[in-house]
Amino acid sequence: MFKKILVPVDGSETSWRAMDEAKKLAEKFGGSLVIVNVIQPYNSAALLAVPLDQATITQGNNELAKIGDKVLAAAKEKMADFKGEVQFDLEVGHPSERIIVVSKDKDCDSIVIGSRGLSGIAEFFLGSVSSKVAQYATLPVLIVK
Amino acid sequence: MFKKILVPVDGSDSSWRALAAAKEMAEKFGGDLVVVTVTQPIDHLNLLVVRREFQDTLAELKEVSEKIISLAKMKLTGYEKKVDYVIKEGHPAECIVALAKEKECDSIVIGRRGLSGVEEFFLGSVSSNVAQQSVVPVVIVR
Repeated sequence: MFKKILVPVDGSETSWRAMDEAKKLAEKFGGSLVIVNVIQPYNSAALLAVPLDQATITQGNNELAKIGDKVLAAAKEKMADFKGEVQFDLEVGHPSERIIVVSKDKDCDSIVIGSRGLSGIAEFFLGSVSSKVAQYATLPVLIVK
Repeated sequence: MFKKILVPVDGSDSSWRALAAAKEMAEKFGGDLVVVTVTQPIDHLNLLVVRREFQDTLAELKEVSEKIISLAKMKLTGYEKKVDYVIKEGHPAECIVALAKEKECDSIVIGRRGLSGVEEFFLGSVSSNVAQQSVVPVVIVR
């Protein structure tokens, strides 16, 4: 456990705390880290409500990709003093689904995730992404508060 | 983190895996463990129907909890740091979260599913509630 930790980050304070704890765990267990940010592009449901032309959709998704890159750049800075191996991955899709897929693809043995993210919706104590990851992951999951 | 880990156990394989994981983490971080099992008494509705049998069953449940703690002790032989063993009575998730505060634990390591037998999707209701309500980090172990 904790030899290859997947850490989803979204730029929220909680996700940075999660990344920090993952760093400590990786240091103790001699493990490596995979830092992932998932951008959720405009999906078909949103499009039905507010029909957008392709150009606007593409532009919107490009903006989202830029934000994703910024989040990972910030993560890189925070990881500068980490002595082990660390990978940074930008994914596109449904957050909890992508997180679980990447955890398998990258052969991670654990996931460290914040309890809440940026969503702004005051969900009770545990955000929807963290909640779904905790439910559906087949790996150990550390939920950082 | 992981200087004082609360580990709820219920005798299920999942909970023993959680205990093994917690032991490993406590050893790496030089921490102590608090092992708890929660006896959930039969709820009041059943009491009205089968009053007399309830007394026996509660005693049996308590015996089971004591057996679970003995098993936990066996599994932790050789563990060099402090371990506290606690038996609580009541609603499992609530007792677990409350005990974490009471004992000033800095983390909880819990199994994904327990003994309940109810085929909940992937994550048992107690683990799910603990993950939600806990104010300290929670590790969910398979």
